[in-house]
Amino acid sequence: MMLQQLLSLLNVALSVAIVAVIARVYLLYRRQYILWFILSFSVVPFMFMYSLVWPLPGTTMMGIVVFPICVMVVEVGFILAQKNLLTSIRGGASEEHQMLLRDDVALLRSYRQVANVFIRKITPLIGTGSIEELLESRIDDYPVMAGCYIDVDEQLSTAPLEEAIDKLDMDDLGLAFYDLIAGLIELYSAFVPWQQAHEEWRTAVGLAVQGNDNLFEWALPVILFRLVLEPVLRRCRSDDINEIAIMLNRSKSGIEIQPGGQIDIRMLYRRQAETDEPVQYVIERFLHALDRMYLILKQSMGPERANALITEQFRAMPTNIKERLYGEGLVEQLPEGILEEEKVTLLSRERLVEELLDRRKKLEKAYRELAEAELGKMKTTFLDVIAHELRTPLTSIKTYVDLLKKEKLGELSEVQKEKLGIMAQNVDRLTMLINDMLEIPSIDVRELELRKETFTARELVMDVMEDCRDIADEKRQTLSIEMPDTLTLHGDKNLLGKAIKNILVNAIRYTPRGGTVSIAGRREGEQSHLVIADTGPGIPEDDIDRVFDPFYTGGEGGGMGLGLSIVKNIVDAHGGEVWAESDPGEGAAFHIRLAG
Amino acid sequence: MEQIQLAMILLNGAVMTLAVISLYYFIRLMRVIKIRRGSILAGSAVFLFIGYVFFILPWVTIGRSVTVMEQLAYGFILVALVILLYGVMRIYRDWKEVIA
Repeated sequence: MMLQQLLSLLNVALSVAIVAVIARVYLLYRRQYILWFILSFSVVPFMFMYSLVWPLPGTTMMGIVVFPICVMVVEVGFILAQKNLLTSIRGGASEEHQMLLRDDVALLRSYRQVANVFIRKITPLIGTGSIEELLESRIDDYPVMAGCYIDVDEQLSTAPLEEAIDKLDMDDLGLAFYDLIAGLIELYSAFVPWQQAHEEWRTAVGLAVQGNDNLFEWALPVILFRLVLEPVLRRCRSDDINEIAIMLNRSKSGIEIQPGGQIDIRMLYRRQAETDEPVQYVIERFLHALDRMYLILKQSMGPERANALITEQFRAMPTNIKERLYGEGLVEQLPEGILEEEKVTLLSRERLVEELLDRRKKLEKAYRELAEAELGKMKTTFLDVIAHELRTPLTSIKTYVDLLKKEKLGELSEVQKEKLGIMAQNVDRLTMLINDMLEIPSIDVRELELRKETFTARELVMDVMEDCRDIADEKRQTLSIEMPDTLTLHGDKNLLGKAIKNILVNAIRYTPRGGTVSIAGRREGEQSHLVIADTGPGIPEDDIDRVFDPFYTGGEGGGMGLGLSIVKNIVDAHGGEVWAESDPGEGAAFHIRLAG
Repeated sequence: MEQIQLAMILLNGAVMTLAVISLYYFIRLMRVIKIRRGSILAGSAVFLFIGYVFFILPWVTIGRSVTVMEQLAYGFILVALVILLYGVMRIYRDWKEVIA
């Protein structure tokens, strides 16, 4: 019983989670069918809750029939939701249609949409008989058309094709529908002037592409050959048409020109399907055909009339088609004289964008230079202030303090001497701090190169240790050195001495009375590795990465926190590495790795 | 035949009929819509169906529950719900991307 209740509990939790996720889907995309899913599935947690509070062995007939009834409620809700979803994706231009419909199904519906535009126009004139005949006549060439029929609404239905969409070849389907639509237009042209039929074809294609962007690829041969070139050809004399037909039909252009000026593009559809970039292929074929045609058109009707006619056909296109054509880079490739205004607009737009990008780059560069110059200037100004406004008065104070201490300006009492001693110490400390601050940014790598030399590491370390001996002795600390005489360093001796001294002073400062500070060195390939270790309290793990940050003091007094920052500055300028290692409570070790 | 068995046969007949209608619409939908999570939802439905059969079979055949069958039913339904939760979460993520 326990297992059953546990499973019930888990099922309650899961079904609540599912309802919550579907509710989030609903919040994202408020549609009635999602609401049906939520409402029907909301019953499920209650079913399991019911079984939790009503253990099954004691279940009565009334108790158990609740379950099938709940399941029925869920099923009815699901059926309603699915029906609702199917209805909402029926509309060709609806949001659901674009978002949810599979691309192939959407294409099929777009073909049907274009075909139905003309079926609606033809039916009142001659009924559906001729259209059905047309459909039947296409089945031999395109068996796929057997899946189309005229339904009771006198509209083309493609339901059987949708059912079998996974088994269809979409290229064949596209060609079959092109042929059907071309046939419908031919039929329609028998009752209206061909110009009107073309005008309506343009509008229908424009609307269909607006509803389904993927249709453009299929529509492009129709647009370029049948809606741009064909109207121009139909205005030519039959001799010219024949001449163009002979020229183009020979040139493997994928099109065939009929005696009346109609263009057969079925071959082009087949070839387009075999290429990787069908849009570019069709544009290329169009430009090729236009190029050939243009020679004859210019002779026959004069260049201005030819240009005006072709331009007129392009401009008559729906706006969305024009935008797509211009976006594919077709306009720029058209012969001179065609769509000249559009070329200028497009070129000036491109130039404007280029100009803007260029100016932006220049501005960014100027801003960076200005910022760098400003920063450099500020740094120099700051250093000048430090040097003059602080150091100069300090020098003067120190001079007078020394004079006073030496009683050159009169005798002093013991208390006065003691206080002057403290004053002198603090002046020295302040001077040292200012010198330290000035040292941080003062290393010029180019200057440093000139000062570099190779020297014995032991000799330098011994000198530094001698300087620090007094403060170490005060704390009764042991200073030890362990490094071979042959170990060398390459760099600015003064700066490296200062770096080692800063670490050593720090180590002495933090090591308790009687502790040990050791300096070891060894050769590592081309480099020298120095380790300054102490037996102090160590550095907390969280702080180990920050010890080299300027003004970091680790919470202890005794300095401005610049010593180790200067060390890093010096070592970095020498192209070396410096890092700290520590086991809290067991001391710290500072490593310097430099060129040897 | 006990009264409860008769009631369960009648009720579950209706349940099965509705399941078949729902399946019909589901197949129609999956043929036309873009969401490729249909297999996940269908997988969940299979487990749900098996779970329900295990749950209801003792009541239909012998007119009372059998503990092992009940536990198996709950187990299958649990698996179905886990799959369904995964499926709806994937759909939610897909749609969020598209709508965003």
